[in-house]
Order: sequence, then C-alpha cells, then structure tokens
Amino acid sequence: MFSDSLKTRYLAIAEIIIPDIAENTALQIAFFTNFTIFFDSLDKDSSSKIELLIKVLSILAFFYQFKQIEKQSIEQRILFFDKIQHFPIAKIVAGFTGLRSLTLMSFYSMQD
Amino acid sequence: MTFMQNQYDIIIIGSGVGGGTVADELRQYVKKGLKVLILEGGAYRKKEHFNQNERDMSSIFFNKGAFFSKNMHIGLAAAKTVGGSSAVYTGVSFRPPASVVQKWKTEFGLDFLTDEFVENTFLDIEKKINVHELPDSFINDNNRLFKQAAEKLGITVKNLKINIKNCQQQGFCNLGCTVGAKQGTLEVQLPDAINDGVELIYNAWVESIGENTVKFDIREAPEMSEPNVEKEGSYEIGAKVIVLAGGVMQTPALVQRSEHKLKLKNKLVGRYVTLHPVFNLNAVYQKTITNYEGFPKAYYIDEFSDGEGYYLETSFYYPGITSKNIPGYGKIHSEIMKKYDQMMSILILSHDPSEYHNRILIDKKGQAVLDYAIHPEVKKSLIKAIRKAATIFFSAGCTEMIVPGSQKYLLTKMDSDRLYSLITNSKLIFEQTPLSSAHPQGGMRMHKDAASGVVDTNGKIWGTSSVYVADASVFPSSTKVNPYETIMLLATHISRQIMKTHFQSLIS
Repeated sequence: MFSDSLKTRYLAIAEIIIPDIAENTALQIAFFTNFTIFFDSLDKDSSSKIELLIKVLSILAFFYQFKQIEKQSIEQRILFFDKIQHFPIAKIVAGFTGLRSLTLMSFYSMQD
Repeated sequence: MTFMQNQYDIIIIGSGVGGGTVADELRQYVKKGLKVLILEGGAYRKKEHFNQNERDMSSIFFNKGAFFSKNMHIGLAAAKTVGGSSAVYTGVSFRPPASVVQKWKTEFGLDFLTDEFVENTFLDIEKKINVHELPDSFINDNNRLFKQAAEKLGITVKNLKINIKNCQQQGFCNLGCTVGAKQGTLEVQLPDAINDGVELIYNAWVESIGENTVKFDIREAPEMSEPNVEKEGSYEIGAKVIVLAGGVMQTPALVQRSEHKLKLKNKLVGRYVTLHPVFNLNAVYQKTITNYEGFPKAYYIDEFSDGEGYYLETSFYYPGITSKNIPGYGKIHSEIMKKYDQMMSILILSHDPSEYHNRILIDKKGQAVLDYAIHPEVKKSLIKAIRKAATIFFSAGCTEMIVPGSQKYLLTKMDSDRLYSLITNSKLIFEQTPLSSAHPQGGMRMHKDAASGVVDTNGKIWGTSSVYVADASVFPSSTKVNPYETIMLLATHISRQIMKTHFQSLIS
C-alpha cells in the first residue's frame, strides 16, 4: 500500500499520463482506487520495483527543476517526462513505459 | 509436510493445452486402472466465474499479465488458471507450416512426424475441438474493413480457423468466455478426463520434483474461483511417471529448481526460447464501428511471413489493454482513446529465430526469469509490418493513428504517402514501446541427440527414466503461427510413448 507521500508523487506522474485526472478530483479518486487494486495484487518483487521507480523519478524531477514533483506545474512535468523518454539509463526509460502501461490500464479498465 | 497416501501412475503438472491433451489421451486407460492426477498452479475458474471485467479477469494471468523480460523490452501474457492459455486465447487454430514440420524432422530428428501421423492427428484434434472458419454473421466492422482494404492493396487475405461452439459474440475472448464457447482444454479435454476418473488438484504450486516424487504447496483459492478440494499446505506425493506441462515459463524453471534431485547437468535447460514479438496497432476510423461486438479475429495475412518475417491478423482488445498498446501518453493519447468506439485494430505477429542466449533462468527464490533479446532482423521485420499495417489502416479509411517507431507521434491521412520515411528502424526503441508476446516456445528443446537437446523424441528428459515434458517448451524452433494445435500434436505423441514405455500391459 502506498504511503501518502508516495501517493502524492505518483499522482503527479499519473496526471501527465492521463490529463483527465488532473482536472477532476472524483475521477482521480476513482482512478487511484482502481490502480491500488491492481498494484496490491502484483507480486512483491514487481510492486517494490514500482515504488522504487516512483521515488527515482521524483528525485530526477527534483534535480531537473529544483522543485518537488508534486509542486511542479503540468508544463514543467510534461517537459521532464519528455526528457525521461530519452534518459541514458535504459531501465529507467523501460520502467517508465511499464508504469505508463499500468497507469493507463488502471484508468481505462474502470467500469462506467 | 504431508505425504499423500495416494500414489499415482502418472502425475501431469499443468492443465493447459499440453497437460489437458495428455490427460485426454490417458483417460481411456483410467477405466483399466491407470491412476492419473493433474496438478495445476492456477485457480479453477469455470465459465460462470468469468465476468468480462478487465480488472477482475487480469487475475487469470501470471502477475496480472505484467511479466517482463529481464531487459524489459517485452511483456509476456501467460495464463495461470485451469485450462492454461486455452482459457484466455481467442481460439485461433493453426496447423504448423509444412516447412516447420520438415525442419523439425531433418534438423532435430523428430522422425515420428510422418505425413500420416500429422494429418490423422490434426483431423482428430480439429474434430474434437470444433475447428472451423467463421460464418459471415460473425464478421464485424474491423474484420470487414481489414479484408476490403488489404484486397484493395492487392494483398491476399485468408480466413482464420477458430475452435468455438455456440459463441455469443461477446468480443473479449481473452478475458475468459462466460458461455464456454471456446473449445479449449478448459471446456473439452479436462471435463472429459475428469468424468473418466482423472483427478485434478488446483492452486497446487509445484516447488520441485524428483524422479518419482512431486513436492507442492496448495495455496488459498482466490475469489471468483472454485474452492480447494484439499487443505492448504505442503505436500509430497509419488508417481511412476511425471509429465511436465506448465508451459515455457514454468517447466524450465521447475526443472532448474529440481536439478539436484534429478541429478541433471544439462546446460541446454531453459535455452533456445523463442517468442512471437507482437505489436497490436490501433487507428481511428472515420465513424463509429462496433468492433467490441462480434468475433475479434476472422482474417490473417501470411504472404509476408517467409520474406519479411511477420503475419498480420485482425484483433480487438478491451479499453485498458488498448490504451496500453497505443504508444505514448498525455493529451493526444487521451484524445485518441476517446475515439475507442471508432477504432480499427491489427495485430502484428513476428517470429524470432531460436537462439542459445534466449532463455528461462531462475532467480534466488527459484522463480522464472526471461532473459531475452530480440534479433536485429526481427526489429526490421517489425518496422516493415508497422508500415504495412498503417497502409492498410489508411486504405480502409482511418483518419489518424499512433504507431511505434514513427518520427511523428500522431499520423494522419496526410502522412499516408510518406510512411516509409516516417516509420524507421532508428525510431523503434523497445524501452519506449508496448511490445508484447504470446506464444512462447522452446526452453526444453526436443532433439534426437542427448548432446543437442533436453528431451528425446519421446518427450522424456535426457538423463531421467520417467520424467517427460509435453508443452510448447519442447518445440525445437518457432512454429511461426499460433502454437496450440502443434502442442496438441506433440502431446498426443508423447502420451502414446509414455503408455508404450511404462504401461504396455494396459494397451490392448
């Protein structure tokens, strides 16, 4: 289960992947609930790697703007993740692609 | 640890296409006294447990479908449920190309694949599981548009053969069928075998095997599945013959966990794994179409298989998987997903060569790890296939799409004349793409020579006297097509060899 700080940082990332949740609190709550159900049922190894990846992305984002990721504007975060797409460490790029997939699936698998 | 008092003649580990076929072949001898047990690591979900809910049904896959290669270039969807992949496939049924069967005979010594055996066995299999072409009433817009567009481009489109019965055309076969229309192991072979006295224990995760022993844990039954038939806990049980049919990820991992007990030192265990790297592409058609109804797959194109290394098939997936399959993220991605009910979809299925360095190994906890690098030639094939699929989309009347390997994120009709310059090898970066694979094959290569394979041509592991393998891990190389009929073909042969070798007295 995510700590509050990790949840905040993750949602700052998720808002870039799915812009709709940045503008709609109810949708964001529903999304995070669905994400949590997916996340909690992953094996321990995968969930630990995802937590670590969120922390690493948050640290990299901080050094990119010298501001906590959750305090960065949408535009600043978009620029940061454009950079991450071409980051020299392949596992970070692939990890972000995996996190993107999990985030998208959590959002679009929500029942109406 | 509980020692089960029942001792079995044959224990089959895995209830998928391979294990189910073995059970079906052996059931005739159960009436004559043969004791057969199937151990399945997944839960037992019958048709009434499937609900077409994407989130709930992700539980029928290993790690919710999130199983990645070590380099994270490719994701693998492997079933973990009674019936194995036959519970989650679409029912597409291919015989292996004749060139593949010939190669297996001449290069690997699989001489039992005579024309007569192959033809007769396939006829039996296809009759039993009801393989046929779809009637016109099952052809939805995606399939119709694909066929029309490809033929307009001068490409030959062929009809897929499917093994369904009483299909209600719910559209999302990969989430499990709520009416049991797919005539896979879950609906056909396993019920027949159980009716004839083959026993089945599910949620039974096999830790290791010896020459005549199986050590396993019965784990808690998950929600929306049958309750356990035995108490949770650790068990050890004996058998005269053990048949491994846990699939390409699990069978080599189990053998590696059991190397000490089996006294095996074969460096080829887990090697020569081959995948069908897949991109599922989506494009937006000019108006609403009803692809989530009808049957998702009806047509395919194989004319680029020999020269360029890929097949194109029609397909259509539920929203979560579709969103994952569309590259990128953000506003444009979101706008495209809002047009889900206008989407066309094409599946690119490429075939990788079998290479020594591609393998299943185990981590410190004994769990399977896929160490896999896609061949550079396959990357080129994928680029050619993406260009071809994009051409078909535009020819069909699609207006926009996002595809991997493109310099331009959103392709529109205006780009249709410059797809070759926009979609390039240098832009296809696997870390950024949602490349996935079904149909893993190899890892326990069948070969007539002990020095060149892991199992002999009867399916027995070289160096053991009674441990067999009957799943896609024995494939010497890629079948290039959906492998289910080929698994059944080999599992049928292996079952018969087991009976001839170990239980001759029961064969009348």
